[in-house]
Amino acid sequence: MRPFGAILWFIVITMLVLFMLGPLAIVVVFSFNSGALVSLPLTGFSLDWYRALFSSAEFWAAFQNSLAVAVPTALLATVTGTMTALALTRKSAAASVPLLTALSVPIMIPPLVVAIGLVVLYVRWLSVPLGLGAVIGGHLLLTQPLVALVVSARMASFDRVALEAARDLGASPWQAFRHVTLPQIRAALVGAALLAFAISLDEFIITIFTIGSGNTLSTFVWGKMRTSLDPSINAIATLLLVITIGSTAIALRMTRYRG
Amino acid sequence: MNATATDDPILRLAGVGRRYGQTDVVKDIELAIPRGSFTSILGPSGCGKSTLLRMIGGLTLPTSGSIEIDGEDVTYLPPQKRPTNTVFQSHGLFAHMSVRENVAFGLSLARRPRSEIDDRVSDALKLVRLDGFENRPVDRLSGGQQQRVALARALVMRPKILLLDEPLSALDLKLRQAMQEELRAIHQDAGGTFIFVTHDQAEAFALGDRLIVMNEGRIEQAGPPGDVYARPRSLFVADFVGDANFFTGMRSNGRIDLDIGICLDLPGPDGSLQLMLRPEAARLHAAGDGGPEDGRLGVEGKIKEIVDLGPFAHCILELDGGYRIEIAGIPRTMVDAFAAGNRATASWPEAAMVEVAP
Repeated sequence: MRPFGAILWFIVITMLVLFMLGPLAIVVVFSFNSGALVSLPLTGFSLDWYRALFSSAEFWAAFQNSLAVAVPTALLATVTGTMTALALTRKSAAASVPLLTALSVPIMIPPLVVAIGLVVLYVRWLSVPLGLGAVIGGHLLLTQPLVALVVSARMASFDRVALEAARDLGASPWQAFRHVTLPQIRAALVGAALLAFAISLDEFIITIFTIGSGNTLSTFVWGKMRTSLDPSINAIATLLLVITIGSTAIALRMTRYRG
Repeated sequence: MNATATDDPILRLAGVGRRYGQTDVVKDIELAIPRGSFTSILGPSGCGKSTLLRMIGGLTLPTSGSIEIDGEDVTYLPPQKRPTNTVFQSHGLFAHMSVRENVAFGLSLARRPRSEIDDRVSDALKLVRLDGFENRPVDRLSGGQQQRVALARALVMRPKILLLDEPLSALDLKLRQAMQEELRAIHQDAGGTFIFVTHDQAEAFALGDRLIVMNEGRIEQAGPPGDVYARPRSLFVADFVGDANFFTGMRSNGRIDLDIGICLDLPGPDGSLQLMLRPEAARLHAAGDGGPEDGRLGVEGKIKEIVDLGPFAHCILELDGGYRIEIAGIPRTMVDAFAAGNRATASWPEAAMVEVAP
């Protein structure tokens, strides 16, 4: 009907997509390029940057720290987020919606503000030493509301009469949760935990403000960027990309998230 | 109801009430349910009947009064410790389990031996005619089958009291009638005490050997269904249970003058009052057929409307003062004798008039 308009539209969309995906593609492609400079032309396929990375003690320390933060964050956020969601589903919508919104404030305000607030809170008020524990606390702020949102969405279609039936048939509140609620929301819980894991793994701002000394993968990359433009950064970025996309994809599948 | 049944009820409620904020949903209920009875609790939606049932089952705690089951005070006992089981309106089946797992749920929790569970589950499924469906996932069953799984799941526990909270209201008419028959048969086969909550008058009469009518959180009347129908104590019961004509009048010294222009003797305190007459208790006489026999009360009027319902006809007679009387159950053979606009006389025995409290 409008060939010119349609073509223009196609070009704009294509450029947008290229612009958004371009950096990712560059990172992945140059992580396998043999040259030391991140510039064209490509000089040949090589796994050298991965070898360099895997032989670096600093990388492994950062990788361990990342896991030491992301795994507890995912587990704790899943427990507290699920408890939050279960408590909210007992309330009326009029009560639960504002509460859920209030709990989600940390993911809506700029991470920089959260990070500064956290440091002040940790150092001035709570006398909590900066370190991995402090990072986990900060990541809980971001991931727990997300778990609560995912589990709340699942609970919206959960048959609450089934819980009463379980109690009526002799189940204690814990047994009713264990045998009726949990099996039905298990997939949502695993999905929410993987999402929390992925978010924690590549979180940067809160991490760098609260970690004190040492590195996680994201602060390690940032540190390397400041000193050199070593293509092993591309290798780390590619690894992070695979892990986060992988766990998010599994999470979305498990929670049957549709749009 | 024999003497021992009322002396030793399976369930006794004393002053039971439930308040939400400023609203009393259930008020001061006094009730004794005989062992082995099938009681229907009938009332409009919002009358507190479901709340009452939930308090018996322990799913809602009363804010006043006490509940005793088989001589034991269960007022504040959690549901899992009560000898009651409930069939819910929206069945509440465990969607991730098979039919067998659903029915075995309570017995597994009670850690009964495997062989006993298997036997009782298969008996319960036979009772609700679902044998052969053991391994089906419950979400692949029809609405009626799901409701029968819910029934088996409760019955298999052999509760002292089975509580049924409008379990048939989501089913279509045919299925509902079939399930009513099954429920009656199951009550006879399985024994035990059943309490059935419904807002459907026909269902309450079809099922219960006792009827409790509730309104605004109170018990309006309790007794055998026939008694409640024939001798309603209040205007509400008379109106909610079946159709009724109401007449206002004045009494002095045991003599009543009704506004429609008839007089009768009925002892009671002086003052204004209301009498009820069931439409099927009245008979219609065409002008010139001799009128009512001696001893019957009669009023003459104009036929406002006559509706042929097939086996019977239904008539509205308008009296000269503008009052209307509804007459039901006019035999089909007599319908031709009446036509709208003609004059006719309605008659009924004095005893058919029942005084109702406002």
